[in-house]
Amino acid sequence: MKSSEWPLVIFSLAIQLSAGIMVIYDLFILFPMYRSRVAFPSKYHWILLIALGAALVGVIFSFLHLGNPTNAPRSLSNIGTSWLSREITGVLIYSALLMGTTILHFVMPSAGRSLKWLVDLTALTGVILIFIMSKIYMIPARPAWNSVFTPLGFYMAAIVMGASLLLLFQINHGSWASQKSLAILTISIPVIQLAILPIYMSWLGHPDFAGGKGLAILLHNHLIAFYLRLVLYLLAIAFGFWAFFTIRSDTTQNRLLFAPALLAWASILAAQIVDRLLFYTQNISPEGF
Amino acid sequence: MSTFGFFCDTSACSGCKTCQVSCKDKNDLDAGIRFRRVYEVVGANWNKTDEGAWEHDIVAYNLSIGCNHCENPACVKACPTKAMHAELDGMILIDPNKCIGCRYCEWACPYGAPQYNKLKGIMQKCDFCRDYVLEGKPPACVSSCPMRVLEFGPISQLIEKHGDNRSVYPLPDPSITRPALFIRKHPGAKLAKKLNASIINREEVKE
Repeated sequence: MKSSEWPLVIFSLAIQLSAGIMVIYDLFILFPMYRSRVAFPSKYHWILLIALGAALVGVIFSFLHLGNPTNAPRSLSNIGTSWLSREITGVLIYSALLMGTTILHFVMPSAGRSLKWLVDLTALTGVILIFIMSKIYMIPARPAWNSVFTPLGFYMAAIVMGASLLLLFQINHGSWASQKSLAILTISIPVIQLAILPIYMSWLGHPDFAGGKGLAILLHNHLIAFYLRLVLYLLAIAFGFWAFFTIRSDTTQNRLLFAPALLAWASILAAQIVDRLLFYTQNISPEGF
Repeated sequence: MSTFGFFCDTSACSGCKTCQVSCKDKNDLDAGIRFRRVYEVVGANWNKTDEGAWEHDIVAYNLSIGCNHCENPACVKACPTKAMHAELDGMILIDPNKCIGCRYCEWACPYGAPQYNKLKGIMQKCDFCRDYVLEGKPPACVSSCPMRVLEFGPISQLIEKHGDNRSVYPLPDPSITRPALFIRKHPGAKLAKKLNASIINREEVKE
């Protein structure tokens, strides 16, 4: 793993964490409240601040990836054909929407329907942004990235990081149903990631696919990271189950949920970091050029 | 569409790398930056015949490539700043004043042509020795080749003289970018895939 990849790892994970938080917040917290016409609680300001903070961290690290950041404003000039240009534009639009949503949450928490629409729009922009991010990697010259596994991995990373973080914030506040839903997401996404792994590896190792070079790199050069990721997924599932069975119908009695929810989130975050580092090891040209 | 292109005779290239060195010299390139790269393709195998004897197949040839100034350049499409652009004459050039050093063109190019200059923080690549070409001279790599393996010229002339073959193992499928690179195949190239031949000097060329 090259040190030059760290800014990309942090950038992509931070943006996906932020988008994941917004999507899960919108679907699993705001939507049920909106349906039951419950007022928007001020305690969720913090969630928006974290989502905004993650997006800003992503923006900062995107600059660290550039060799010549002084020309960065020019990167918006090829939206017509460049997915990277579209991504940068998307990150700016998403961050601006998120900032607007967060400010509105603070200054006009009673904005109700407008606030909900703004959160919807921000979350939708986040979903589109993740698709754009995955398209950057889906290029013929990098066949190990050029598959459905790339967007799938990015979306799952966003959902699981967002769900597990919001589970932490739901302790003593959220409904039993939303806590259970978030715990199920926290468990099920790593399970799906583990289930997909053999399919991904067999695809990567197929002789017709660059002679199985991608799989060889994964298993010969990064075996420790490969196993570490498996262990972290399993830990995340175990902590997720622990959290799931700790949730009580009387949500004021949920202090015991803190430890498993925190451990589940930490395992998931660590797993996603290792996963993303391994993803960047697949930056291979099949022919070796 | 590119007006000019390169021709490489892989059946005659000795792998002396004079083209690579003269390119580095002409463009005053730092260590690690190679606008032109000579890849050594090698494959071999032992087979048992029906009579029980053992015979061997072996193939080894060299492939010298720079930037292919493609008709459908992946690097130009990928570049977020339009620093990588096609000139009216089809040459693909980098405007150093626009480049942000994101290295996305490096990912997008299937031939490894764009090279990252760490000191300048920008991408650089072969420009066909544009200054020489404007003076009516061939690029440095072409004029220095002792085997006369490399040729440079208008695409129509190269096709007329050598045919329209734009690939040899293990170059990528030319339909991806339509490179302005024309190749005479080494006779052993037809065996290369069967022998699972590979580039054996990857570290030399990439590091």
